[in-house]
Amino acid sequence: MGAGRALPEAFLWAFAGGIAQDLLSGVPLGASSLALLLVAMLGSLLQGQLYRSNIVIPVFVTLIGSVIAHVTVLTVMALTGYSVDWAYSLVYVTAPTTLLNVVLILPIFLVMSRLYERLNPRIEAF
Amino acid sequence: MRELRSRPGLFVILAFASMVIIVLSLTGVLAPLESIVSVPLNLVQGVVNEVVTGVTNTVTDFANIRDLQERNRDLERSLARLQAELVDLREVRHDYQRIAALLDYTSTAVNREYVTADVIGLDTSGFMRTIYINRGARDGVEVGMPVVTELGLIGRISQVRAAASEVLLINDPSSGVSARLQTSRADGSVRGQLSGTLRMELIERGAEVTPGDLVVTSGLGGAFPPGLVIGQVTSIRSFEFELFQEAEVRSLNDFDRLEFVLIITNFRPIDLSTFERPEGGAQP
Repeated sequence: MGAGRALPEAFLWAFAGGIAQDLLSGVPLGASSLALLLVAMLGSLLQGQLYRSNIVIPVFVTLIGSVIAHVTVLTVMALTGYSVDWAYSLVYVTAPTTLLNVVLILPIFLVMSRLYERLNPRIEAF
Repeated sequence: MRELRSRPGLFVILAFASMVIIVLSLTGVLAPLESIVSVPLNLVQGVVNEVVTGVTNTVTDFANIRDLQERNRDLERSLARLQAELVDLREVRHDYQRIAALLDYTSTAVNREYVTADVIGLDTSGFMRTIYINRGARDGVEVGMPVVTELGLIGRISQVRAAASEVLLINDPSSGVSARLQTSRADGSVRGQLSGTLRMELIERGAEVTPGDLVVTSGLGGAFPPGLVIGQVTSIRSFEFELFQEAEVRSLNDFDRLEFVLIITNFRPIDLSTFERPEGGAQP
């Protein structure tokens, strides 16, 4: 996810990563790019405070972001003529993936927040 | 501030680019480019897949090792239990076969009444060839009753106690059984030998005796009913200077491995002493 001044870079990574992901999958080329861009935009709303915030916020962003990404891809697929079983996809793909992402974000959050604090130390005012 | 302003612009551009790519991809315009770009990606994908598969297989193998170890333990426990069960079932089968054979034997001997007995002991002195059975006076067993198996005669009751009896085997040196060769009908006497074998003595000289002849009880003397199988002739001893022939007889029974026997309870030996004349006495 994008963070702070690196947001343009995050958008680029989301775009490129999405293209690469689509090339390795069966979804329409560009669908994942669009989905990841939306997620990056969601992350940008925190304006770089993602790893300085309470752990609830990253978990919430991960949850919402996962759902948005999946729904976006499914929507693109549905609009481009793919047969989409929404119920099955949401229950058996989106839900487990979201849960896994939420679980994984916890250790990632701890590592990233410490790394972020080390790279961006707070200046104490006297 | 400038950065913040550029953020939506970049997002819109890239999002629009994505949508264009989607359309171009669906129309097939990007197919050659997709093919070219896919080559290195697929190569990387193959390597990653190989690594992931290797790791997954390793983890799965470890998991399987635990499962296999557990399953192995289960199977070993099952094997031990089934082996014990198998031993029991073999014993049951063996008993069944023996009893079935005994029943078959009893069905062929229609006029005889039998009591089945387990062999509970062998003579421990080594001087006599006797066995002990778990039937006694309470079961109607009396001294002198013949004892048989489905393979033939094994002896007679020599001692009776309340719940057990002693059987003197026919291969005991002190045992003598009036016998008859089934084919030639020649009579004789089967006696036990020190070696534990049987020998038929007192066969009249002119009688035809051949190995394989069946030897049965003759009933003479009243100690045994006629027709009980004793054994088969294995060899003959015949000398011109002797009045009688002798034949080695092999019982079909293994006297060292008797487990079940039948006591013929409706046969009582006849005491021939009642026909003996008193010494010096006059006939009535």
